[in-house]
Amino acid sequence: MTRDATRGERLALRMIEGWVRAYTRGLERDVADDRVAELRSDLAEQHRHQRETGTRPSFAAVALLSRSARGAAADLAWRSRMVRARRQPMTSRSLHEWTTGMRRVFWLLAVAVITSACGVFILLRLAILDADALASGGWIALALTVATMADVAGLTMLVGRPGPRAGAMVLAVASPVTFWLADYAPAISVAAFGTTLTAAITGSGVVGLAILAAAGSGSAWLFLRGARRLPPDGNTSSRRE
Amino acid sequence: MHLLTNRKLSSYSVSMARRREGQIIGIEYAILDAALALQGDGADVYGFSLARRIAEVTDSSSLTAHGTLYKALGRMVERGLLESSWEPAESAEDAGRPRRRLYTVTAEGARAAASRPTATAAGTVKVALA
Repeated sequence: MTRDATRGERLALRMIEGWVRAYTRGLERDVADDRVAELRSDLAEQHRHQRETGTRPSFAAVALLSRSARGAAADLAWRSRMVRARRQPMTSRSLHEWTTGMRRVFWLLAVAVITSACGVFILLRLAILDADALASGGWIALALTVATMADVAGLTMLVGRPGPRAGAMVLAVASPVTFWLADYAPAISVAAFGTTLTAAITGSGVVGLAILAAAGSGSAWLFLRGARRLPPDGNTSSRRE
Repeated sequence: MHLLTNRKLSSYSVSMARRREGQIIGIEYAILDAALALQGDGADVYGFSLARRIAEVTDSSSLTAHGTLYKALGRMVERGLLESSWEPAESAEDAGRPRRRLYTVTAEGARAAASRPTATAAGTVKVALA
């Protein structure tokens, strides 16, 4: 299916498959397997269709993600319905906890995507536009690269293994570093936020730093709060009475 | 008369009233119409082909969301409006793609599509919205 997919498309497909596996976790095996197989087929068909119609790979990846994200609420409702219909041994309390947990993961995922995209974008633009700055950036460039890699790893963990709690904890550390270091050089600021915002940031000094500090602190707070409230990983599926 | 868009097809649309038990909603009529049209053309009816057909008919640039589409399909199979089966693995292997889950409209589904309320009977996707 993904043999001819670009890196962005493969990432989008992996994220969607991760989301499908997350909301089918703990359901009866045949129900979960059917859903995963049907979605896999649909994604392959859509990907092939996009190829045939000459859709640009970047648009194709966004279209795939958008189609999945728009149906996320329905996915969760379907999941709840399956739990009720199949009379899985899940108490109403644990069902409530699970549904609440999945909502939290959804929002954490949204912020994680933004943080990771920001980090990747900064590094890519720097590598393309000013490789020397990246090479001579010293420990700051190294820290930014490591933080971005940790962001992407945390994002993957949110929807995969070992689980959302571990992913949130990784992101609680990595995401503020990404934001805080985004201001270390003008080139990076330009790459990350665009000329207009950069002008505002560099022009106003403290205000610019405050924006980045707020973004970093806010994301750290969000992920720490998420990690505290989520159940331990490996315990997010149905709990037996 | 207003065009029924993908957004309005969603059972989660804020403006859409919560459906009563047994009531067929917009997305389900749209799926029945698309499935009947595909069946009439002799084409396979599966999730993505339905999403494409609905997008074509509604003149929408975006496809029906996975969650909305497959939740509705599952509900319609449970209610006997559609039947589903997995295509043989050999066919999929020959075509070099994952297996499709194929749907067929049952007699009850065809009856439901034909006997929709007057407001939605005028056209496939044009409904009277208050």
